[in-house]
Amino acid sequence: MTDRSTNRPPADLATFSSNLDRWGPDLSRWPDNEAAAAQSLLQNSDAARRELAHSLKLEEMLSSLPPVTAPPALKRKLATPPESSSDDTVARLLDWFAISIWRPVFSATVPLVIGFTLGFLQAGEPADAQADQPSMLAFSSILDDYPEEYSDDFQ
Amino acid sequence: MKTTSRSKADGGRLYRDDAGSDNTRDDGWLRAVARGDEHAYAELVACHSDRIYAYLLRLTGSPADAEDLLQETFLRVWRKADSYQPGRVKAGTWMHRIAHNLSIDRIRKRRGESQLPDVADTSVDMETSQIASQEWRRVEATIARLPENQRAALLLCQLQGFSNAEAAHILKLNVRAVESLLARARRALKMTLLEAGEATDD
Repeated sequence: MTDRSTNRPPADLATFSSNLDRWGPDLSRWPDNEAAAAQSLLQNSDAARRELAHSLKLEEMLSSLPPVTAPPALKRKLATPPESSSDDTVARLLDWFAISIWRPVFSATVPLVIGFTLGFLQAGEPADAQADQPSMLAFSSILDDYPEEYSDDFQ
Repeated sequence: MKTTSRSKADGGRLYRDDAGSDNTRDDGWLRAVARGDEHAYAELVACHSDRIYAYLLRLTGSPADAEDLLQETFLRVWRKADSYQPGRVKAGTWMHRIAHNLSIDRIRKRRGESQLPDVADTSVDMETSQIASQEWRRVEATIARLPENQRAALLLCQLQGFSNAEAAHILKLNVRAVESLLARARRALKMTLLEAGEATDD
């Protein structure tokens, strides 16, 4: 193949033929220097003109294929968006969490939220209930010294 | 897609807005779809479903697969519209890339299950559903016989109206590789459709 940076014509028919296969028979779509070289070859070579005619015939065969259309029933079905309900919401949420930049933020937030939640739950419990167990331990020696006087309180 | 938007082989940009307002319109629809606009989604389906279906049908060779894949493609469009970046590629290119990726997965899965329809089956399907002419059937069958990557490149550049650069984006290849695939595909078609015909005529 020719060097694209030069304006010299294709060295031979093989190069022209290869370029035809690569870029098609519409020379306006070729790189400018290659198109100019092809034009000069076409003026002087019957074989090159035959190659071009061959490519044009193939192009014509392909472009004359009838249009293919999707079945109308399928198009009607597609026109309604897919279930825009819970599945879709879940998928969008998963997509959002899948974005890597949010993963560390999410990971750091979860234990914080759990910690605050547990703290608030414990703060709501009655003071006596919280003190029960530690006070039992703190006064256990008194119980040993005066079992009769305090036995009712610790039953 | 307007064929006038096709760019030169060596200068193909992925996004050209000189083909009129189609690209801008599609961009607007995709932005609206990302916000959950069902009307914009219906417009996208109306404008692009035939073209994408044609690509899927010719690539897979199976109307049933093409219908399934078209539905999956638009499901992805609905769910992933917010990941579309206007100005980088055209909406049509972006949707074809989704369709292509899904179809390649399907073709490979089918190949693994040995259920890939053969060329004869494909041509029969084409005949019954779309194509009546003997000549057209011969061309379609020849395209169906091309290796999968050559077929995809040829369909995108020759029948779907994409530039080589756009096809390269859809196929996740560089432009040189697409040109090479196109060259091999065109050479094979010439040999089968033209040279064989000439030999018969002689």
